[in-house]
Amino acid sequence: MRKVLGLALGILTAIGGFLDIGDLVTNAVVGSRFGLSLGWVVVVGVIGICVFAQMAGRVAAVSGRATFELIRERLGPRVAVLNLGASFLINLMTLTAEVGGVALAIQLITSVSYLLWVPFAAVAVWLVIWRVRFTIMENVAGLVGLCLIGFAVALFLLNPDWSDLGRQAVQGVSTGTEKVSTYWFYAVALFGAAMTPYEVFFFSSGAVEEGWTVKDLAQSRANVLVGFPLGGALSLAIAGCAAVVLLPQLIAVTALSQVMLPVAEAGGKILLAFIILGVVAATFGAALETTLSAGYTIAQFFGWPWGKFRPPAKAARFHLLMIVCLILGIGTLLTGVDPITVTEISVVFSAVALPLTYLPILIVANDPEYMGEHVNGRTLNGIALVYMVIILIASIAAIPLLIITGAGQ
Amino acid sequence: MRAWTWAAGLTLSVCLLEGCSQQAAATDDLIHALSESHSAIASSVLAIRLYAQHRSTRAATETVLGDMAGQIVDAERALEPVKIDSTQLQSDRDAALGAIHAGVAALLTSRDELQRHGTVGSAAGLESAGGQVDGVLGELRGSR
Repeated sequence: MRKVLGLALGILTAIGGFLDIGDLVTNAVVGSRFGLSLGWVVVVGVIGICVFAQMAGRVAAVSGRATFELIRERLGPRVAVLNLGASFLINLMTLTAEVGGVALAIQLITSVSYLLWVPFAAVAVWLVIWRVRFTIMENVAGLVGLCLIGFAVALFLLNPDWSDLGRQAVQGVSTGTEKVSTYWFYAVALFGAAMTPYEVFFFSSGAVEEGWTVKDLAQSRANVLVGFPLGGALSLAIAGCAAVVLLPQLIAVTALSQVMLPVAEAGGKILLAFIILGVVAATFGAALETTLSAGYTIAQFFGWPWGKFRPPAKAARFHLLMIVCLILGIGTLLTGVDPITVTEISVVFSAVALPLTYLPILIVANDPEYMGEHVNGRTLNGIALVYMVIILIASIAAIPLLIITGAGQ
Repeated sequence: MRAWTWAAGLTLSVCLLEGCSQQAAATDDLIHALSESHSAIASSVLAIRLYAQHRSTRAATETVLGDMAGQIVDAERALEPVKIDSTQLQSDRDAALGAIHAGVAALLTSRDELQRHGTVGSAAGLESAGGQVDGVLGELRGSR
């Protein structure tokens, strides 16, 4: 009974923790401009993150070592430092976007400018990381984040023409009045939003934090293979709500506040309150994960003591790094830069940097010295190699598309 | 002589193409600013309607109006650097600026009304500005 409850909790947490500011914004932008014609990218992205997280979790559980320790060992310090630089910068950008997302969500409750909430949000993130146990932190954020199921409820309440939505989803490349290059730019952005590298740093380091062993592999697999696809379904619901309410009125989403309009239309104030609570939890949870990931990547690379399982005094550099990253995030946001712009750029750069972390994990997951009998099977390897190609294409195409389209304008 | 004629013809063609592409780029900028304005006005009208129907909260509605006011002001500013090199483009830009300016005024009025009194009397001003923006947008799209 305890095992079943643990499994259910893990899956629910994975669903609630799947969405972050990148998913919320990118799916709403895409839904309002392209309908569900980019829904296929969410499916491709979700399968990709399942493959990636499943391999990273298995490597961590079997070897007891997290992503960046292995990257440094496999690539050597010189090549790995490039990898570290790129991953750290993108993680920092994502952290900034998540803290901005928390502040924007609180603005929706209070109507006080988000800029005033940014320092409070960052301090709250630090306090939780400092004082709250890892499992409690992860489970509470994930479970409250489940309020985002309200987007699926909203889509049903809107009573859309399902056949029309289905047609949009299956017709593939359809740009309407938008340019083809803009369509592909958002395809890469959606892919990057679904496969953000910090999720994998956090997942694999979290496995070490929680002391996973080979015995926990089944639960890890269930969390990923059930939780993430259901989280992906919520991404589609966000795009669907925007497609039903905003697209016909030619409203292109540029702000988080617009994402709430279809929800209020469908379910009124109660559903709106649920969703705003879900957005606060999802962005706050992701801010915790990205802040921890910032500490994990650097500390693992340099071999410093890391982890929440150690008291802060015994992992001082790890904790100091996280504080510095939060201060950098606050500083960036207080310049007045739009958090939504930071989000859109961070998801595109996530796609750019993805091969840097995916390839080493793929190599280690195939190494019998590390993995013993738990190396990748043939089918998984086939899928993982196909994804390596997709990731490379998205990574190469991202920056040219960003320039050609003026960041999707 | 023949080579000179070819060179002159080629130069003239390049200049004409350059001129056309500059004009097209300027028209694209106008269309983009008008589309952004349309989106801001339509979002605001929707937010006000939902608030009037008690389906949304005051804070959420104020946030939408604040965000959209920022967006439409940015769209208006984006028209300032647009290069004008023909009377047609001048008149298009004037029409676009006029429509967007009406939108800015209507949106700021609605936002201030909501902040001060907690209600928005009517979205008629915004709807009328939206109609103006849509009219100019339709003409520009039709002329391409």
